[in-house]
Amino acid sequence: MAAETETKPSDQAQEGALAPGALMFAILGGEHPERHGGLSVVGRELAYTLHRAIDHLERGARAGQNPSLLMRGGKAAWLVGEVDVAGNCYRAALPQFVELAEGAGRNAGTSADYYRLALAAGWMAMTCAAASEDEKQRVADNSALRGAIRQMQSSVQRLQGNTGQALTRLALDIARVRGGWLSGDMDLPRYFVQAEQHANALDTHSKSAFVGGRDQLALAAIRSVVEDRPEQHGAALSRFDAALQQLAVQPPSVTDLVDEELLALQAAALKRGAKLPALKLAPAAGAHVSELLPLVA
Amino acid sequence: MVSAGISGLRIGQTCEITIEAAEGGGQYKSRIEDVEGESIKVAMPTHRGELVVPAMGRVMQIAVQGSGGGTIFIQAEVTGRQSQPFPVLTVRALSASQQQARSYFRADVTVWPTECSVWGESPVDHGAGNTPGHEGQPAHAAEGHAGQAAHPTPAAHGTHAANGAGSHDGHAVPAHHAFWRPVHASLHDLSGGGAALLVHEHLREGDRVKLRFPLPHGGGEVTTTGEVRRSISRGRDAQGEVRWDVGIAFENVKAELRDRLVKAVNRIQAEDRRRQQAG
Repeated sequence: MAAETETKPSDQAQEGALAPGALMFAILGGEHPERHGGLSVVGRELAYTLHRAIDHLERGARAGQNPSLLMRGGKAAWLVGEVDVAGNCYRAALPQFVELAEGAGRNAGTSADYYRLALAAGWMAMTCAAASEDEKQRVADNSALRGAIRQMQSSVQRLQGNTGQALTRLALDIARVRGGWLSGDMDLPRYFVQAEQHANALDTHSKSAFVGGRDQLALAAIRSVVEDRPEQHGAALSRFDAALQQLAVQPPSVTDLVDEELLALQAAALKRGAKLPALKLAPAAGAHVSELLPLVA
Repeated sequence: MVSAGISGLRIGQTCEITIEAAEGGGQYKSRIEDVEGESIKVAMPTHRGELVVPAMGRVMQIAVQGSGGGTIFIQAEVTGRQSQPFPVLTVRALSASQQQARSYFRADVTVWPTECSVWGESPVDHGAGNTPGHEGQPAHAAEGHAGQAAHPTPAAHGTHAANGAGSHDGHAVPAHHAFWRPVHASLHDLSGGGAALLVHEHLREGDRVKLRFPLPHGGGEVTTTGEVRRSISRGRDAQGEVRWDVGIAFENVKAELRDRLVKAVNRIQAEDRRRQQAG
């Protein structure tokens, strides 16, 4: 099922008329591509982030763990249409986020958040492989994503037993829904019921932290997508997109420009024939390639 | 010895003097009468109507409320005593420190932010943040601007920054170079007003930082910006990476976000108590 929600980059990236590899050559060829005078604020960040992320990937295990840089590198590469680089970044981020979820996330009650990021990275890696028409890699990424989901599903109960916080338990319920949706789990309806029961049972104090937040809107959007009512997809995804935009600061950074979960939901909705409004945080691959064109001009 | 005058002291301000002595000491209310460099004149303390006259050279502590709400602590020694026209004690400040007033409870927790960025130029070397043996100094520091506060104020000058127009206010990172630069950091304590980070490169006081991180124990993800108020080197870790203990004061925090942060701190405290009770 995971493969069913893949998306392909729009033709927008292909229309850039850039010679293959020209952009990455421009970024990696110089010491400080971000200092090019013609770049915008976002352009500088894209160039710098890509340079750093690729350097991190090349250093391998010596570089240590930095999943947030890899995720950001994946976003940057996606935004400029370098899907191979994006796939490599996301692929490397997946196990690092799983490790965070099972490590530091346990104490801080943030395991569900790190699992969300791990699944998002896994889905993006698979999508990038599909966009590159690398079937072998796509299958491997699908397998890695399913492995992470299995690990998460087996940890959720233990993690829930380890906390006294209703919001943490609910976040883990919703992580299970995310995993169930991405893997086509037969138990997904049960996961929905559990999550919604726990959401309804929240006290007023906790409810105010949950209502209108990312998890609530993601839950509604996933439910909408799996219930196969395409006419409702647009509204649910638009609400989710609007809430995510609220998190952005001015001027925005690369992290404010793309959300992998929204991309996955958009892909699933489009697959079901939904007509969607433009979702700002689900841009096509290469949507911001123009920010780096001064580098190759 | 205090090299310059102590800022934050006002004449007429009440203070508390603590005298510790083998023959007996105590805490007394007093008042700042005059300040001149390191020399401070305070009203002679009294106890039950009697003047308390410390010996010459006696070391005492003077605590004064600072203008920002914090407390200024001054270690001082008695250098003069006079009774006319009114009883005054002259002391010389030996050291001074300030303890910030905190408006919010702070909770220890380790969270890895989804994003930690600093508004500024790129460092001299790309691998600076993670490369052992490199301090990761920003380029402008290396170019002779060290000591200037990087005040790009993306919120205030967002339009300029976004347009790349540049806003040279004497302290700003040139807008044609600045961007949200990713830095490797973890968050180590959190309050409704700020956070402490362990950062793998040098951030300077005044730098603007953007953070996106999951709130502990549920509550979703938040994004906020803040200003570096404290940056102290913590040497290097086992891998040879530099570490800086960086205190951030959040900026322009809306009431809703403040409420979420405070509730997250409450949850951390509740969870810590629960774990302690569970043994």
